[in-house]
Amino acid sequence: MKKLNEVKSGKSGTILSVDGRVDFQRRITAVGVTPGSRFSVVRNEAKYPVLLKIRSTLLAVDRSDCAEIAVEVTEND
Amino acid sequence: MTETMTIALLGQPNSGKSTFYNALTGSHQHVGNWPGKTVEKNTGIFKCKDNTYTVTDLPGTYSLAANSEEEIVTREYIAGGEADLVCILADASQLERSLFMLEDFAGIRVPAVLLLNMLDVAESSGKIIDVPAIEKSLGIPVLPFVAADKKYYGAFYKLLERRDMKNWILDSNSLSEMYKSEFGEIYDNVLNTLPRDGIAVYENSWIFAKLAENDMAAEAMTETAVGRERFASIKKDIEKINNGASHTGNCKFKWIDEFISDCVSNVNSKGSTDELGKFDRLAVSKRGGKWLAAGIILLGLMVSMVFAAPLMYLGSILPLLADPVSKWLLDIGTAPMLVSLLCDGIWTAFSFTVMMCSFVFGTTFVFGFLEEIGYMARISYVFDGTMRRLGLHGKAVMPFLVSFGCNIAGATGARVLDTWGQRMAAISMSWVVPCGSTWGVVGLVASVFFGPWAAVVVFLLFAVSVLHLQLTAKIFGKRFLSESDRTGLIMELPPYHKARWGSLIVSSLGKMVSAFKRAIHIVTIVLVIMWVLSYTSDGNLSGSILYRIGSVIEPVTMWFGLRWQTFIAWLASMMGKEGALGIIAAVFNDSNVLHSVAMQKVVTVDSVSIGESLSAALTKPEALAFIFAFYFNMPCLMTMSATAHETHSLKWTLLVAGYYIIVSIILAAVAYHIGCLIF
Repeated sequence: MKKLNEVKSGKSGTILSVDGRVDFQRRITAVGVTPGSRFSVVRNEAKYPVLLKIRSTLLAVDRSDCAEIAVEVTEND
Repeated sequence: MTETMTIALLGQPNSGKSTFYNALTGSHQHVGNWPGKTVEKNTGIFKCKDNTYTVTDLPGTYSLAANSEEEIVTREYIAGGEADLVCILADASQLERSLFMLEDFAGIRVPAVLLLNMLDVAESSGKIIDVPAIEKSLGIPVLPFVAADKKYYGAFYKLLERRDMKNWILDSNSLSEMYKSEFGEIYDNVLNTLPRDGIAVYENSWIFAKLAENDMAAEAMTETAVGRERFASIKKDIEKINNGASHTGNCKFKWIDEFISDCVSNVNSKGSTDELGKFDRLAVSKRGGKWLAAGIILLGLMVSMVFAAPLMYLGSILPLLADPVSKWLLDIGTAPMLVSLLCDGIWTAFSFTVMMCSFVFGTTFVFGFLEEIGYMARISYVFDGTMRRLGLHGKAVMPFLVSFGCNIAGATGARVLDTWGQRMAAISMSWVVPCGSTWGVVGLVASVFFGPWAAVVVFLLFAVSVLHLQLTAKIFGKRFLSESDRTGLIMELPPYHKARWGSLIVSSLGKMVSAFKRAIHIVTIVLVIMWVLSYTSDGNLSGSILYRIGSVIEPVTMWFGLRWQTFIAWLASMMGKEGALGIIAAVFNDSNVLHSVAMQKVVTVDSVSIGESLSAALTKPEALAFIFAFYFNMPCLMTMSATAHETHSLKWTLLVAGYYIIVSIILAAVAYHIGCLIF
């Protein structure tokens, strides 16, 4: 298990859980980041928000918020 | 038979809602405010076959949670029963995500239709949508739609004529089943405690979901409906749920996934790639992204000046009319004083405001364009880190960038932000950004006095701006940005699409006109006061009240390094930055002050002669003091009125303005005294 901000560019996986403040949960859920959904990290550079593709949407999410999102990375992808 | 009906438009950002709204209502639009809220209310009217329809364009939000004022407004409006029909727009090319709004709506017993917008985009990517199957599973009419194409509107108008509208209630059964299997006993317990038929327009499953999401408004509503005791028992059950919002969201998306696999097939089975396009790889890259953004912004600012040019020209030739008119008025025997008031005071105010509005139009248009084609989101992404240092996030970059063209438009640009605190903080910090006109004046004065060293002055100004920004963030940041306002960036980077020029021009013009209407009164009042102070019967400034006040206060203003002339110019720059040059030209040449404010654009205040009279009258430290006082002064009256309008807080707008004024004077004093040591 990893946090979303630890997933390297080009890797993909599945969201396991979303923690953190309630309003963060509500906002991140509304744009499609929910447990079980598949994602791929498009860009993950230090000091920049994480860019990910999820539910055919390109999304930028704050790095520190990404630490609240637990994911399972698919190997050999 | 004539009927009136109210339709509400509901949809996520980028769902094409505004295009639809503009196409429906055309020029019959009214912009107001939701009562007691800082959220803009857009209503419009259209007629179809003798029936009149009122359209309410609800704020674009991602869900119906109570996260922001926009969402609260949206929910209260829908629940209030004012709308006879809610049109839910979903982007057919991104069905999965955009159906979330529909799912958040499920369980609200208000008639609704679903518009599958951007069907053309979806079809061209190989998606085939089985509309009858969707209608069957949702229980409401579903319309394949392209908001940008008039061809599709006939079917929509026809739909409005149907008589069975009352029955168009979105089916929430399958979603409630999802909740039931996800939450089990808790769900049953809570539903048994809630009133059997739900509360008002809300079904119990909807209320349950919102309670699980820790929605305060829903909690308050439930408590009122069931009483304190029963609510306590509900609350006990709900508290057993961990990360509720994430779980209910999961249910909604599960439902959406099933729904899509039933009703949508993809001919083009390879689907969309997860790779970035060629341009995007540069646009979001670590090294090139910021440079590309800076280049495009610079280009955008130049183009915006081109767009502003026609109106700016109009604003600058208007004062030319003043001369023949005043001559004619004098000839027919009007009192000279009245002629002067009309031609120098009021007419100047009018042409001045027209001129300033040209900047609003130019910058709103260009940055609106960048927003619409989707590039603005990329800029927000690369500058997120910079904005975070100010307690904001990437989306807040918009007002700052726009302010380089025009601070008035910058204030309006803060609408992209989610909360009042973020908007207030972003606008008040963006005030320090020098607009195009500020540069004109600073550039002239600095090069007259410092020659090639002017570059150093500009660098100093920039460096102090950064400190100023941090000071502002420190002083006002805590006030404006509460814990819940300090949210991190969550932003969609939409696919690039073509701009719709028509609606872009209409909305830029609309913003310009509303800026004009707001500002014209206040600019007129201030200019009339200035006129009273500077009026003399012989046109000689030295006989005016202004001169007398000026010579009395000079010993005080000199403490800040401002001679009374530059002090007046500094005062006048609050009216409009470009006004300062005209004032300088006038006060140093002992001629009519106000006339010069307006005329400066035509004769461009012959910079050579201004330079000469300036360098004869001021010393270098005094010039430096003026540059600092002028640069850091509050933007202009129109920006102030725009800020008060956008934030709905005159109190805070005035406080921020006071802060800017005081800081600019202090900085002038510092610059002057340091300058005295150097030169």
